Amino acid sequence: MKVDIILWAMCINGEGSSLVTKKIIKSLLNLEEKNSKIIISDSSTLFRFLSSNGIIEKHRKKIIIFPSYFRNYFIQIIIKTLIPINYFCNCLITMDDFPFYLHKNQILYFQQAGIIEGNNLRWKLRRIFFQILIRKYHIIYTQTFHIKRSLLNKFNLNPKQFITRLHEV
Amino acid sequence: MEIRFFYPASYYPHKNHYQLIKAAKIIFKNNPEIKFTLTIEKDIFKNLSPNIDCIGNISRDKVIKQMKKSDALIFLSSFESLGIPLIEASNLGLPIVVPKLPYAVEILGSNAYYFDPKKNFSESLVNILIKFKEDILLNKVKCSSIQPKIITTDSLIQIFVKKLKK
Repeated sequence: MKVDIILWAMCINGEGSSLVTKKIIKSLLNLEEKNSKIIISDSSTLFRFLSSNGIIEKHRKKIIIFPSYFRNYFIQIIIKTLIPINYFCNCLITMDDFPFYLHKNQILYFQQAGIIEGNNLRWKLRRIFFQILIRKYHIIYTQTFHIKRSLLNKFNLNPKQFITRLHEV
Repeated sequence: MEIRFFYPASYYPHKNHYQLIKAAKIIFKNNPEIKFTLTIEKDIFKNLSPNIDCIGNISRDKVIKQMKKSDALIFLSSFESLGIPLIEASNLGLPIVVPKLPYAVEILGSNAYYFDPKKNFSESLVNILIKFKEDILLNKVKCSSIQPKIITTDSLIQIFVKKLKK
């Protein structure tokens, strides 16, 4: 069945990004008029945060939990490039580092400064992958203007693609 | 009088814990009252100077409690999209020592103790920590506050929903 909104947070595992994503998930769950699903992975920091607050227990039907090995970057490359997620949702909010290549009605919540600034091989590979996946039809949300400026400079994007507002944590 | 700085960050190279440990060694010689609490494990670095306490990873609630017990936040990351501890410390009005980099300047404006990370990182850090100590003694400490307007996540989700086509 196709839902209104999917919030994709399968790879969220860091402390800061989990804190932010937990807040966004709670707000999305408050939107009762929208039929939504939330995708996370098992044993992640985000899973821990949501479990400890009883959110998973309370919204079991809305939260889909994938095994932890789905956070593997090679699996992510396959998912983000090949899965036709638009068959499963009208709107997509992606909290992970990379957007879905094929979904045109998508907001990428960008929160990984390492993709712009990181210098080691791991970051360089992620940067290349990001460059491949990010398209002019994606909407990109950034918390701060310095990240928006850096993304514009580095990836040849359009300023009209961006939403930039600082939100509570 | 003890002056305690708190650095809540996991261990990653871009968080510059190594630079703090270098600075702490220099500071200990003449300013042993300046102390540091780090949220990394004790065994990551060897031969830590006595003014450093490594307490390991702690929950968010404990981070806030530790901030309240500290005289200032120290945050040394080379890059961040936001830097959540800056927001948390600002909410408490806690002074902040931070490199003068875009992620910090955008959030804190002029309300922070900045140092230049592009010169000699640890030396610049030592100088600003000593400046902070002098300000404490003179009762002139600069407290932090957040510059941009902050919206709720409920409002943000509404913005997202409007932006996404039906």
